[in-house]
Amino acid sequence: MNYLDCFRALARRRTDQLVVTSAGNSSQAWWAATHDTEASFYLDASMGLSTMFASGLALARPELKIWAFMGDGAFCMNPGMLMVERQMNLPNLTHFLVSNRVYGATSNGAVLGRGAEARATALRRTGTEIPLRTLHRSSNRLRCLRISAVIRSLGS
Amino acid sequence: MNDKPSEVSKRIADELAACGVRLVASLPDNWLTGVIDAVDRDDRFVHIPVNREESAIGLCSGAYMGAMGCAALMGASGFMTVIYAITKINYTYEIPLFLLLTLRGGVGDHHKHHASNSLYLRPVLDAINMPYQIIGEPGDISAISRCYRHTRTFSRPMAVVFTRDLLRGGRA
Repeated sequence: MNYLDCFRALARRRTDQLVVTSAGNSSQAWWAATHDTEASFYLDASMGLSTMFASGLALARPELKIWAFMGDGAFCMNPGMLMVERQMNLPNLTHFLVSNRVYGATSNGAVLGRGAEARATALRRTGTEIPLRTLHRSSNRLRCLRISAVIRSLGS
Repeated sequence: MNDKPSEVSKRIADELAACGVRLVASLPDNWLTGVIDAVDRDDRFVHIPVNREESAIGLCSGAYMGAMGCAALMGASGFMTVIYAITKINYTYEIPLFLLLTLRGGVGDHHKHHASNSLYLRPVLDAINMPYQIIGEPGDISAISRCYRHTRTFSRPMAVVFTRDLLRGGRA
C-alpha cells in the first residue's frame, strides 16, 4: 500500500470526524483522498502546530471528534507538543503521526536522524502510550507510510 | 502607581473574563507570573501552560475556530519566536489572535540581556503590521477589552504589551 492508498483507507474509516492536516504531504494526500472542503482544515503551516491547532478546536468543541495529521518532519520541529497534549488529555482528539522518514513536500530530504529514534524517545519521555496500534506497516521505495504511533486509537 | 501587583493581576484577569476569554495559553515571564497565577487559580479560565510560544499560537487559533474565546500570555522574547506562525496561520486564514506580552527592554527593565527586545520588539511588531497597545498604568487595563474586540472585528492578531511598572509595581 502506498502513501496515498493509506490516506484513502483512513478516509474510508472516517465517520463524522473533523480533520486538521499539517504542512507537507499529509495535506496533499488528504486532499487527494477526499477532496473535502467542508470538514477538513488544511493548516499547512507552521510545521509542528497541526495538533496544537486541533487541540484548541477539540477543547472548544468537546462534542466533536477531531483527527489531526502530522508528518515526522513536522514532529521534529515541536516534539514538546506531546507534553501539552498529554496535559490536556482530550478524549476527542486523535493524533496521527505519519512517518515516511522524509520531508516529502520538499524533494524527500531526509528527516533528522531518520526520525525514528528521536520520536520514540520523546514519546517515551512524555509517557504517551505508544504504539497503541500500528495500522499499516509496509513500504515502497520512497513513499512508505508507517503510522507508527496513534495517540488515541481509532474509534475510541 | 498605588496598585499592588496582585491587584493589577486580578484586574487583568477580570478584564479577560469580561471579554469572554475562556482559554489562556501561557509561557512564563518573570513579570507575568502574577497574571499567570491569577488566571491559573480562576475557574473562569482553562489555563494551558504550553511547551513553546508557537504552540500557544496554534492552540488559540484552533480554539477560535471552535468558537472559544482565548488569549496567549508570553514574554517579549517568546513573541520574537512566533512571527512565522502568526503570519502563516493568523494572517493567511484571518484568524484573530490576542496576545499579552511584556515590554522587555523598556525603561525600567534592569535586565541587560533584554537589549535585543529593547531594540527590536516594537520594530518587529511594526514590520508585520501588527497593532499593539502598551499598557503602563492600572487605569488603562480596560483597554484590554477594546483590543480584544479589535482582533475579532478585523480578524487579525493584536498584542497588548505590559510595562514593568504595571506588572511589578512602582518605579524600578
